[in-house]
Amino acid sequence: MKTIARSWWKILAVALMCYVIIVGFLVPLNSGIDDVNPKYFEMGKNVTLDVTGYNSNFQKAQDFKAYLWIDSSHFILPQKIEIGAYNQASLVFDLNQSISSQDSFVTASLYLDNEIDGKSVFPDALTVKNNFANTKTPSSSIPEFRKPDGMRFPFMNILDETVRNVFFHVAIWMALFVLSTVAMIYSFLYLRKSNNDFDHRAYAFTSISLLYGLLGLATGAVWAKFTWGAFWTNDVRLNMAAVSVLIYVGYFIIRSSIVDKDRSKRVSAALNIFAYFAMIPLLLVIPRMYDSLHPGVGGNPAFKDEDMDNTLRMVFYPAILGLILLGCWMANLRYRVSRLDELDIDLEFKD
Amino acid sequence: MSLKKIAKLLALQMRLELRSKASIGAIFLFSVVLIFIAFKAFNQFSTMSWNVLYWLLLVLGASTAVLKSFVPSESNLDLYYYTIVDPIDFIVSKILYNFLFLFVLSNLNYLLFIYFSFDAVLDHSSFLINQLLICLGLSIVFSFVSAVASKERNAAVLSSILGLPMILPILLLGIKISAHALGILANSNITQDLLLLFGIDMLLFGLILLLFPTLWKA
Repeated sequence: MKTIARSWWKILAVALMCYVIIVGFLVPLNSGIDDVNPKYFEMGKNVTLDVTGYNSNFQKAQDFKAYLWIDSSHFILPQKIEIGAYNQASLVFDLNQSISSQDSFVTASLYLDNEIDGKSVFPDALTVKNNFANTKTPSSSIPEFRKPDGMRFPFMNILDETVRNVFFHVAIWMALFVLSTVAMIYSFLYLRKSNNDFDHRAYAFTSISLLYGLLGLATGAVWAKFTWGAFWTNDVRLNMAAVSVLIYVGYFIIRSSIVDKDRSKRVSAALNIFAYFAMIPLLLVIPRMYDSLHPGVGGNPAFKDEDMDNTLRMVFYPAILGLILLGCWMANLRYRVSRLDELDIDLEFKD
Repeated sequence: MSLKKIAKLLALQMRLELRSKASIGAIFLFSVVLIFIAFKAFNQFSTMSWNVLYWLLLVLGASTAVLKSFVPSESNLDLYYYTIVDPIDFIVSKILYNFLFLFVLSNLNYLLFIYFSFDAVLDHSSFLINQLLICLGLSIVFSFVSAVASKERNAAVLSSILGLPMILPILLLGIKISAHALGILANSNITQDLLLLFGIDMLLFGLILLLFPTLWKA
């Protein structure tokens, strides 16, 4: 009983990770629109849009609505809706009306709405040539969109199902910052107090940080392959992450290559602090100054409401906490092993 | 930490280094040869390659020159220093010496670049400030790495493994600023970049002041 009471945080870590894996993989995505054809058309003619839905129930839905959305006061309802399959529909729009815009080209979105899937959006990806500039259109009142039942993760057009990687890729990097900060503090304490215990702990936490760094790169590579088309891109943050992993690899190399135990500990502690403060500008400052494919830089949105909605947060924050606790657990094990290792060597000398 | 002692140590170091003319001459010759090879190999030169080559050659020169600054001398001079000098005075004078040396080296490189190709710099003042900050950053990082690694057996490999990733933020930022000074890159806030570079330099300088005394004890 006592051990269970003492290791409540390990149980919490396992529970959180189970929750993250189960909920993160089982909650379905919102329905969305994968593709619309054609993406370019002119006002003044009828147009037939072929829509490919994702995770959608076009056939089952009783009340199917569609809107060609220019802005909240300008949208066009389809004349005819033909549903081909659960995810196929063709919509005929009568565009013999005008939109009051000065621009000769207007971007439009396609909104679908039914009682099972709720609202799905194909955002700003349609271009309409406006043949009647400067005339007015009557506009109807803003329609009410319905919501699907149950918990759903948001659908994003390029990400699709990989949005779930946010619970692993992003959370791993966040957990890494916490773990490497702990390692840096232990190194600092070692330099101050010269207590071997601190050195073992710093070493353990740095090992787990490196493991997380490699995992972060791996999960990122999988995600990049799906969204950007390549495992490794020339993105600034990617290269900076690789370099900071290299700096940490240097830490392990120098630690093992210095023969004198005491000096090795001292040098690696100093290097750990140096590496930590070299990592901050690498990962946090410099990528913000360049254009990047990552969110939060170069005009890409970061954790705004659209990207990081509350259903994602309900899994994302537990994932960070779970990974931190799991890392502490692993570091604890590593610490005990490295302490035993050293004891072993000492015993050999005594014999 | 006292300025007087630092100045004295700096003067002493300069005298010692200048006495061994061969080693200083070797580094300068090394950079001249490198530049000559680069220009022969490139033939046609664009401003872009000018920029990249300039900084790469400076880093190569710096790594040969500065990384050896803590190599233990035969005459147990280190032990003597250890008994009479404060570690902070010692490291500050080392960094200052390396900084001055690198600054001279980089200006020499610049002159050689003009001699062999053309003067690509448009904005001389920001190029010069950038050069100062990069030389400072390189001398700080390489001095630290040299202090860490040079007493080990495979010092050369170790110090390049440690040093090259660490100078990367300084170097990338510096190359960006210098691209701006060369007129390749537009629309960037150069003052902010220079301030950031200065900030990174100062962060590393503070860290080395904090960490070097403990390293020296070992």
